[in-house]
Amino acid sequence: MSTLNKITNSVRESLDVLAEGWQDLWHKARHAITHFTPTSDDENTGGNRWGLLSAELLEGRDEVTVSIEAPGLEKQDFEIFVDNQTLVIKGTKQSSTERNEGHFHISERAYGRFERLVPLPCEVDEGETRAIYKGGVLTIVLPKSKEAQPRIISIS
Amino acid sequence: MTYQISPFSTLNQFNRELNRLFDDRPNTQRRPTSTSWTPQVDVAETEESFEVAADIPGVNPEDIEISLHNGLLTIRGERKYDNESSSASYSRRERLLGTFSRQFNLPDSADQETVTAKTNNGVLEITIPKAKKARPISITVQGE
Repeated sequence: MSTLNKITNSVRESLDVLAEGWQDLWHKARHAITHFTPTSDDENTGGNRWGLLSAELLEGRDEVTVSIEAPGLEKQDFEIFVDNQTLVIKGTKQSSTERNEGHFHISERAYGRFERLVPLPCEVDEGETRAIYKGGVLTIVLPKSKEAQPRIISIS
Repeated sequence: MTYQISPFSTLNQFNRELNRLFDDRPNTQRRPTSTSWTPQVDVAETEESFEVAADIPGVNPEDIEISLHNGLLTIRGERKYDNESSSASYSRRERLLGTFSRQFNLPDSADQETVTAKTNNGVLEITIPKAKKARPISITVQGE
């Protein structure tokens, strides 16, 4: 094999690996990248328009637990509902007023309205859903609907 | 003196590095045993102080270490998983566990003795007051 061919093959191999890795990363994390729409109050802070809201979905026997990292909100800032077997989390992250008075040296955090959708693996009983907001992590427990729960058959 | 240029070894090394990088990724829904992440921060300056805000959701306050040495502010910590459950299965895992660290150079106007820190809803808030002499003073002009 000529030197040029060797180099070409090596470069091609590198790009393939890079493309594959990027695909994997995109597949895994793209849903966590969330757009923040600035509310009028926050328009002047020049904060980031994109933030990460990393989610986790744990499916148990009777319930589905979704955790989302959403730091810097108050519990009343969230709106949570289930629509078409998809969990919808809406919220507004507000920047604190004392920071608005000064000027930023570094501004990486995103502020404003956001919406995160998490597809659910089965039908859930929306009325029985519970949510806890602690340490910047929102945890939502959705009991599975009767039809989605595994049926236990007793042997007589 | 001669220089030996070897594009192959460089490319091969590059390939190996890429393979290592992507082979380390959790192929299944298995979480990597140790990893590191970078919290997003804001650093704001007001007339009285510097305010650092870092997004650290899911990190326990006791797992955060803040140090100040020669004007260098270091925030270090670790996110641990608290309720790993083996009976349930994950169908989505985007959260990163592991250590984080960030450093900031503070200007001379910072009063290093009176730094305070607290966590609130997953946000670490550090307040570094400015030294008295660095604060703006307004001087009233007296009439005749």
